[in-house]
Amino acid sequence: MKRNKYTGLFYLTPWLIGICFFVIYPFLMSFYYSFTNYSLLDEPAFIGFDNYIRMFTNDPTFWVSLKATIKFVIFTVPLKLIFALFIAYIMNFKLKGIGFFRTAYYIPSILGANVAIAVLWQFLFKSDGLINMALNMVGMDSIGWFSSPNGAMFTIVLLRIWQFGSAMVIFLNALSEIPQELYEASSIDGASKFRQFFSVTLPQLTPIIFFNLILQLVQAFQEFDGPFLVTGGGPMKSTYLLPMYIYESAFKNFDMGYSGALSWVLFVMIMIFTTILFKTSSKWVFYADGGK
Amino acid sequence: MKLRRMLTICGTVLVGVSLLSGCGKNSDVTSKDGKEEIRISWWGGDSRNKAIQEAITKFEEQNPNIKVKTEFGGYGGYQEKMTTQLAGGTAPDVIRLDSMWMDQYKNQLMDLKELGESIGISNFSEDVLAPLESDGKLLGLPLSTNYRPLLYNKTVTDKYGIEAPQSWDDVFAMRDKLPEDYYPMANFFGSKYASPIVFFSILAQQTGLPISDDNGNMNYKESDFENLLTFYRDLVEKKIMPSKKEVDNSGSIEGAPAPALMEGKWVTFFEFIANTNTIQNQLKEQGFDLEVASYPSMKDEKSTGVWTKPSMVYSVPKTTKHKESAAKLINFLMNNEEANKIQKLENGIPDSIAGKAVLDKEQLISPLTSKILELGEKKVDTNLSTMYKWDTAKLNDVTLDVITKLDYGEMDKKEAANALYTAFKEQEQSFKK
Repeated sequence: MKRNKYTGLFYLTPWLIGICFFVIYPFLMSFYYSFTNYSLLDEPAFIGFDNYIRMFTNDPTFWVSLKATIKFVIFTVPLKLIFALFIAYIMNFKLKGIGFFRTAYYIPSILGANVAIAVLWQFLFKSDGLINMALNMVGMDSIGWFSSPNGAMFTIVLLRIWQFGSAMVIFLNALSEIPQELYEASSIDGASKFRQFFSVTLPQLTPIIFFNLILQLVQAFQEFDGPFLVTGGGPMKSTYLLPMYIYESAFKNFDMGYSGALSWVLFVMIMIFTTILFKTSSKWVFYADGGK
Repeated sequence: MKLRRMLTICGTVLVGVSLLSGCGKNSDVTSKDGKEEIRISWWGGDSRNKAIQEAITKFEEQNPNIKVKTEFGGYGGYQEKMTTQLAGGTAPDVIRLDSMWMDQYKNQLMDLKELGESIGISNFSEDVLAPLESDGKLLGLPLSTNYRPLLYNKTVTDKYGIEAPQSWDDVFAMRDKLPEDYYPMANFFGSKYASPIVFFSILAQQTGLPISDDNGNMNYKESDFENLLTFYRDLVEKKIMPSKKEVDNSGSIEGAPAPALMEGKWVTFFEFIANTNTIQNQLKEQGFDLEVASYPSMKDEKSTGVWTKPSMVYSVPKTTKHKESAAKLINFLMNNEEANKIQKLENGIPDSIAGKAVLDKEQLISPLTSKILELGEKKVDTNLSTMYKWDTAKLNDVTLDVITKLDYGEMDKKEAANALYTAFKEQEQSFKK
């Protein structure tokens, strides 16, 4: 019995080394550095809570960045989930050639946010880009997407919603697991498709919605590529999300200590949000087996 | 109990692996065939990368006992990489750095004077080395000297009957001759990145003073910044250059030339000498000829506003175990005849006396580049020689922020001037530390 346990651990060694070096060690060190003035090039000196005090009392950029992050999360997460569920619902019908569409809709998620996507987004949203051309064609004025705070936020929110593939696949799987007899029974009772969706599908899906919600929430809080590549955090820091501020503090301003403090604030924030969701989940998440 | 065991295991693994990596560090890096292996890193575009690699191949032929490993990429992210490597003690033996980073790395770089003639120090004049010294230590050897002349699209100016602009007034006058959707000048700032160096020149033209005096005190007052911004806003309001707002919507992508520039719609622009070859070729592909105008003069100017800076330098980190070979490689790349013939103008016009002589003899300096150089030498104001030190990441950020808010109407000139002044004052304090 005991020997078995160590064999297991032995097989886990590569993973253990990885997590120790690349997760636990940096995780702990960032906490330590957040109490220092570490600049990467000089030895760190302990400065107590100075970084945290500076953040909350004397750094307007932090508040701007925090506001932008929360705005981004509030828009991205629900919209992405609704969209993913909507598409998954359609994909679940037994239509001809549905396999092709299931793959096609997943493609944007593979692309991620890279320079090619940044080029595409610029092409779509620049002043004489495709979107504005389309607007002009239907007689509307061009919109300065990258030159208005809301427009720029829209472009990076859209980028993430467009990549709804992974959430869709999870929904799709859950949809096919819903027992058919529930639909049969409800249609005998005279429920319309619309009524079925809200009274059968949605309640059955709540555990998966909850799972996706947590996943997307954590991801959205950590969003970096979109603003970094597409908007550069601008204009006027309107899309300067916290992860971007963390990166620039560390590697552009060489303020590792402050960057560490920012990361920990972000970490605590994500913790609070997920805890709230977990606490409230008992009120709205429905488990067919009673949650056992 | 479980947690404790978990931590013990983690700790043991950590210690074990760090012991292993410690062993690796102590052994010298030699390749399998017994050659000494050294590493070099730089940034650049395709043509520069090819040229340097070719020169290095020549170096290896002449020094069969040394093997050179190359690491290169674009400018984006290069500094982050260097900083991390220098901090971690894993930097290559020869590193190319931007001169404005020197102060930051002064504790990580070795004094090149120690290497003396093996690095070919006598090929550099006192003038070009002075800006790279810190506390009497020479932190890098300059590849070339840079400044930003005003370039213009000659095909477009010819078409509309415009003479090469000599002054800011000439630039303003271009407005009447160009079609409405053209701009006489590109904005000084990109959509995501702003270096205030053209501002430095305008400030110098307006005040006749460099940013700081010999004791490091800032010369400019808040009112000077207000005058500067008045001048800038004039350029935007009279449609001499697109506003920052238009730049943001122009579809520019980091690292690529602005589309409007390539369409010939932004007719003049400031660009570093080291980049003119690239831009000249890019414009040629679109059927445009690039020419250099003089640095625009200002009515009643108190300085020409032209200042130069060492562009890129070669440095050697203190952690290297191959000082002699590193010196040899630097010496070869900068001063050797063959190496210069291969690299041509890829690094700008060489500061190395031997290197420059090779290019002169072989007539490898393009007419455009010689003209830029000549104009620079004629107009340079040596009082401004320390200006480049103020081109810091922090001031770049603040400038980007302030100019955006000003052009978007979120700030008025007074507030913007105050924000700039405050940021420069903070920079002054950090220099004094």
